Amino acid sequence: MKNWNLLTTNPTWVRVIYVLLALLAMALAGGAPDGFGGFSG
Amino acid sequence: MILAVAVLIAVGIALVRGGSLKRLADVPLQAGWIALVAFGLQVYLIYFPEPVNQGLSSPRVALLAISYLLLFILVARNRALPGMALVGAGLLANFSVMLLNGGYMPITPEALEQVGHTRKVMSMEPGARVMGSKDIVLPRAATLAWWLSDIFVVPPPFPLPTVFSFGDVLIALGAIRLIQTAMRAARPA
Repeated sequence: MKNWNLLTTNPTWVRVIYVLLALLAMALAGGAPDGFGGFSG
Repeated sequence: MILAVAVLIAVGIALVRGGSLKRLADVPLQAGWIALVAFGLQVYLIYFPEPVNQGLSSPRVALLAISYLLLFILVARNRALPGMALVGAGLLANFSVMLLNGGYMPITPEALEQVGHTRKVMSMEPGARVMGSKDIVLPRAATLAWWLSDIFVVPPPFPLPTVFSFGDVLIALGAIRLIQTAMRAARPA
């Protein structure tokens, strides 16, 4: 919990998480394989 | 899922090559929230689907098209970033073949069988939605621009058996290039 608080109050790590989530969302939303976010492809 | 794995493997490879996760904070990504909105729209469309594709006049297809238009805006605003041109080309390839075939990504019954995902469809009738994806079942002969559809089969025993498109490959390569370049960049002085 303490580590998580450190992570979410540090602007650098907040920005890292934001960029990573945006890139993941872009790849998942733009791509169209026969599986979306599940574990079957 | 396979695209999320590609992004995470790209991060891992960049770390092994001496890159730093913190460098991602320096990526001048603009309006990244657009990707999150597009993804959110698709989560709704994919997990609350119509059982059979009702064509381009369906509100769900319109919503899917809007999510792609949002992604085009995101790519246009960030076109200067490395890899974004590849992502844009992949989006265009996927969106084109989806529009040509009633709004969803075509996949042949044979490809679904090869990958072992036949349980994800209610029937193998043309137009049936593949659960948990943006795909519809369509025979090859009935698919326009078939070569842009989901044709690359990675069957079991690969741990994540999947079928993907040429556009998916371009999007993965673009995202990998962006992550590699960003994480291995020298920190600005």
